[in-house]
Amino acid sequence: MSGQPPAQLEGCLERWIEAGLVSLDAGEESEAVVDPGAIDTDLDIDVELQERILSFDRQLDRPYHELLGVAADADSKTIKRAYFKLSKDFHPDRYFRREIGDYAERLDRVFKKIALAYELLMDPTTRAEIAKSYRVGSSPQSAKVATAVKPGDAPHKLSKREMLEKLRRQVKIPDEILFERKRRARELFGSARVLRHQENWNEAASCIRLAIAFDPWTDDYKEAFGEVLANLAQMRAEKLIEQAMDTSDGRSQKEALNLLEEAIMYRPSDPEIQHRAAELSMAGDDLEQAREYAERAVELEPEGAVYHLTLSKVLRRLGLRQQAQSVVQTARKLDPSNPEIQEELRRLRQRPGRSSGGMI
Amino acid sequence: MSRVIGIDLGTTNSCVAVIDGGKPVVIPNAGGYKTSPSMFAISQDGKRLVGHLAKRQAITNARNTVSASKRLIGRRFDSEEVQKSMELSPFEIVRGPNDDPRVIIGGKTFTCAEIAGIILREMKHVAEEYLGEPVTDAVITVPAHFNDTQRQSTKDAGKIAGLNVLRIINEPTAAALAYGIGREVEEKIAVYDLGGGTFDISIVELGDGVVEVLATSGDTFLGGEDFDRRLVDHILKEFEAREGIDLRGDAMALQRLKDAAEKAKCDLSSVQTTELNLPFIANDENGPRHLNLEIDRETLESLAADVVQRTTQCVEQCLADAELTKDLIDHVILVGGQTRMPLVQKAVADYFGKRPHRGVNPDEVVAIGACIQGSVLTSHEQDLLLLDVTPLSLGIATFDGHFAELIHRNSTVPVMKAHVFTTTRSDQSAVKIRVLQGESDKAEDNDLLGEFVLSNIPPAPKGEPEIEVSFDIDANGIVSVSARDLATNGEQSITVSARGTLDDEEIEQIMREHEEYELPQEK
Ligand SMILES: Nc1ncnc2c1ncn2[C@@H]1O[C@H](COP(=O)(O)OP(=O)(O)OP(=O)(O)O)[C@@H](O)[C@H]1O
Ligand SMILES: [Mg+2]
Repeated sequence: MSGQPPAQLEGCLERWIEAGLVSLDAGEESEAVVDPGAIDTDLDIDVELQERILSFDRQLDRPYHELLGVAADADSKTIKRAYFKLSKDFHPDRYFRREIGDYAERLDRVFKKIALAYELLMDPTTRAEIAKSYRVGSSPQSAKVATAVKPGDAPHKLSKREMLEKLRRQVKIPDEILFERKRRARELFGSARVLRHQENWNEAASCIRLAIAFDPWTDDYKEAFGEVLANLAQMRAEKLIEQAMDTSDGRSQKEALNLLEEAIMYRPSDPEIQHRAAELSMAGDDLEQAREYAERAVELEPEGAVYHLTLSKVLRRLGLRQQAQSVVQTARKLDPSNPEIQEELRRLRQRPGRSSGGMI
Repeated sequence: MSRVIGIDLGTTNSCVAVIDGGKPVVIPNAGGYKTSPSMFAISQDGKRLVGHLAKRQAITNARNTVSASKRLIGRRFDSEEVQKSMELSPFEIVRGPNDDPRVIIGGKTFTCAEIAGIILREMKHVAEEYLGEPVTDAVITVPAHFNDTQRQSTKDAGKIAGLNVLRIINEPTAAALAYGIGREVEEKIAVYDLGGGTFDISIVELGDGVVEVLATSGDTFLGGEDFDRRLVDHILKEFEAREGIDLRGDAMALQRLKDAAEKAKCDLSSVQTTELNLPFIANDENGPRHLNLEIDRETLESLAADVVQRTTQCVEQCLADAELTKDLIDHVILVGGQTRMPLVQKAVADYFGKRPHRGVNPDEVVAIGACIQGSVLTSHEQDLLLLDVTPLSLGIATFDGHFAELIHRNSTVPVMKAHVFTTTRSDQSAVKIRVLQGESDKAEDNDLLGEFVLSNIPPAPKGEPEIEVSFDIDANGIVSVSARDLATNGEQSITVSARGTLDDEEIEQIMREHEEYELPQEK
């Protein structure tokens, strides 16, 4: 495990899960049952080995050092030797093209677990965490990995938030680690601020995400994250809108709308996004939707002449000419010199022509 | 049971080996050469030529001779590498229907897998000729940092050649296997492989009959050809300064020059100065011009210093990945023809503070390692196990365009990792899982291996649903990805088969087509 930032991207949480600090399972776990009839003498694999594989497979939840058959304080040379020895018994390549039935699956599982134990024990950081988790008093059985959960029998899972809560209560992170984490988080957040200034939302998001991974306890980071995500969503929406406008490609219009929805989620009180969404919906002939957006835009910014104008256009196209007229009047009051508003007013005064298909 | 051959499918040269009488042997072709140029040509009279036969006529038939197609295989047409190749190649490269680069020679279009297949078939022939029996099983090597698409295309090439590809393994890993077989000691070695087109570096630990790859790194666009190019540029400039003629537009002259430059480069590995002699290289109103130039080792070294420099940067990265310092490396093994250059040897020796290990043949060791792995897998006579790693990180794209890594590069295979993800919008009913491979934080900078959708997520506030995404790489390197909604246990999964590769039907059609052409054999 080399210290690549992306490895931490999804948060230290997963690391803790793997290190056995946290378990995804909230409740009790059931003992795996061994099938005594699993031994098959017809297979191209020694009976003795079959027994070893079965017994290993049954006890995959043992503490990692026990899996490898080494002492808890074994040095890395000893760990490596043990791993090499076990690999020679359990690596799937040793049974290439052999008729080994169900054992293929078991070997795959066993080897992956051994390799994981090796990886975690060879890394001083995870190793220290693992050692601590045993001291904390949770049973060694909790050295359970997210990946070991089989489909079909998933016990009640904790949400990430619950898990963090539980973790905070359960595990006391040593002060020096905590301090270091917070320091890194602050640093990252500092860079994020600069990036936000430069409107480099992508990079900013990445920095804050990392900051949160290091320090999930500071709410400021999460707030800032939401803000940046909103900007990102809006930026991408703008791009898509542009694309949608000049290709009039239905697909990207829809996608742009989705993105705008996302942006709205983060900035519910920004009338401009609502307005854009209204325009886009109108272009896509979804007038009901357009009306909703336009009404919200007007509601959020009653002084916005253009918002009133758009609402009026939507209402007119919905055949609600009278309502449209009253809206466009307001628009004219707000911005008397806007030629578009005057044009809209003129249109509404005209009787709709027969060919226009409007309702009477 | 028939025997397994090991093939080193190189950018410039290919080599085949087999275990014979309990020992690995490199098989010479009918002309007595132990390696064959990785070249394919269609001659003026429509004959298909491979290997030395293709190379011999390359100068007079440059536009219809394909070389270094390994630089194109499995890449997208728009990639920088393909665009760079197009500038340098005398043959035509066009965009294929899968956005893959294809090659036109003799008026016919070939996929890169097809070209590689033709070369592999030639190697298969060489082995069959030598063994006097048919061969189907093969282990083929690729550069360590080839991505999934490049590997799968190479597998396709094997199928086209009528081979059953047991395994694709990494070139430096193969070299380490060849070195490690029969050694009892525990040691850490670095394999430095500078070939014609690619550079690979791997750090490997040996002990107890296990070969464990600790880390691997490299550059798919760094190799002997870069040295050649530097020299060619230098000569072009000299010639223009002297004669006032730019040779760049003349395909035949360029091909001659390239050939001569490579030869001069190789000569300079053993002598201090060499002479380049190309009579009648150009013509103008004043009559024919000849190119006559003396080049010394120092000039070449100054032209190529930064290329060598770039390799040491990769070495640094690789050591960091292996969490080792250079003084912990017990041996350094040099692989690839370009490591014969004294400057390269000196740079490696200076860097590691020890002289590279002698005693492996840099041209043959990769093929030997490949056939050893073939025999390790099938015969169980060898008490040897290779613990190989996945060379590039794998993960998925998050909604904001980031790359969330699940399997870190250099993880031992087989391996499986899972993470829990969630939705970004309320009542979001579906998530799209985009499977990526690469090292960039930005999703779009990585290679897209495939995508699928997990739908029917019950309505819930954003951030609430828990989607467990798991990645699995089996011992054969096959990647499968699944996504599961933890609330409903609804699951979707794919086995990644890289985009741009051929499907079985296409492969069969190509094979049928090729049966019509029996290739002339090496004389
Ligand atoms: N004596 C020499 N001195 C310098 N360079 C040499 C010498 N002999 C061969 N080379 C160079 O080595 C390169 C070929 O090496 P090699 O055959 O190992 O590559 P390859 O296996 O075909 O390519 P790759 O491994 O990159 O796919 C060519 O660029 C060639 O010019
Ligand atoms: Mg090579």
